[in-house]
Amino acid sequence: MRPADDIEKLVRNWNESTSAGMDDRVLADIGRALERSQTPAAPAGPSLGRIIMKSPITKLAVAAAIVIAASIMLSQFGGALENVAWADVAERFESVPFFSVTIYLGYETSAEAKKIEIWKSEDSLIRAHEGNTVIFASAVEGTSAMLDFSNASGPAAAFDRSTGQSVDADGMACVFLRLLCPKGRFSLDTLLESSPDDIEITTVAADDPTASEETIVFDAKHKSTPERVRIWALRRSKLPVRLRFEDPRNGECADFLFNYTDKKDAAFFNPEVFKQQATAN
Amino acid sequence: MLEDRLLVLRCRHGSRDAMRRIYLKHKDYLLTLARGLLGERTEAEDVVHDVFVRFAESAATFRLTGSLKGYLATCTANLARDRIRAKVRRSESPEPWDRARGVVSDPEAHAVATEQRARLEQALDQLPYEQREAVLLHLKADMTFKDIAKLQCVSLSTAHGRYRYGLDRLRSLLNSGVCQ
Repeated sequence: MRPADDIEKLVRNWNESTSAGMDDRVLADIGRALERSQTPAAPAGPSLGRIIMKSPITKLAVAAAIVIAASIMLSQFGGALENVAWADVAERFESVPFFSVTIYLGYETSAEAKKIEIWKSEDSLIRAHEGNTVIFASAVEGTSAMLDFSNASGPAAAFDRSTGQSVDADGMACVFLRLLCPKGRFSLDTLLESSPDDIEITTVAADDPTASEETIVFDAKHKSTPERVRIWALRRSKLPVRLRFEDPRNGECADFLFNYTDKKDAAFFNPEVFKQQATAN
Repeated sequence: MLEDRLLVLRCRHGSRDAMRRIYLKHKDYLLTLARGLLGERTEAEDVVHDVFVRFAESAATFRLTGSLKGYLATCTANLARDRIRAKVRRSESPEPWDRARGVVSDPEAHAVATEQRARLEQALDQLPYEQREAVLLHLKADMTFKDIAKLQCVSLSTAHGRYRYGLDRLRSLLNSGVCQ
């Protein structure tokens, strides 16, 4: 007699595979369908922010921003924390002249993680590394066209880091740039546009081991999913230094590590200089 | 989940690569699910094709609120049901599924199937549709009973019961070897 576990295992292990012919047919058709879906021009500006705000991750952070800000005002955290709220952190981040962020995407059970690096200059020039691709962009406040790769003289360009040849850039670095800079300005303001209806907020107490005299920690958790976001910021400067996303269902995690001391010179953000160097090598 | 969400975000911006990665990631289990629900491979392929084309068509406005895997599985189950209803309207008996037609239309795949797999397919065919759907959605799409109950418009206990009855029936069929 087969136990129920065996039957479950049998069904779980049953796998059909698509044929190459089917893959070709479906990929061709979904490519055309995707083009059709893009035909109606999306309104510039607010749409991207709204798109982002549909993401549960940012919703979590939004709710964290709003509720934690309120709770911090009302709670007794001691002198050092008294006037620090998420809004302060978001405002401070917006005013910082330059920064870099290193993003690690991976799984807790795996040693392998995808690494993305983004630098922003005082002149709002951007350079990003993802794998063997380097991306150059220029953020212009009020527009969302920062990553328009459609023409050679456009605001963005991407190259193979080894050869200096132009490549298509469509990876996670672009996604994160759009998340961090939706309207041509690096800001956490998008975190202030949603309501915290579906969010359960816990503020990490000042005496929690994860907090310290130097750091304040914000926690946010979605009510309907186990996903959670934790944000560390420096108490004194109010700058966010780390953001960690975790999904306990599959061990997926993402770490954003912010740095405000690694100032790069103008040549670092110049695609022409990069091309010359790559060609010379 | 984060990876799926980011891929969806890229699809919203028209990324073919992201759509391709979503397809490659989810195609096989969706095909298995559709095959289990419909019985015939050709029909299952059509359903999977339609799921992805519809998903791509709505990419610009799509909002992912849960897991992408669950969403695609729900779409697959809904399209499979539509096909079954269409068959009923054409006065074709939806159950038990005519496995023989699938075999005839797909002899190569059938030839390489293991005996165990063939018996499993036959046993699944003999389950009432709702039980088969509950078993496959839970085991192949990792859907919770809460989500299955929502999809089937029944109570949580009913969805769980359908799964349990389906599993018991499968075990009985596989143990007795009376699959035909």
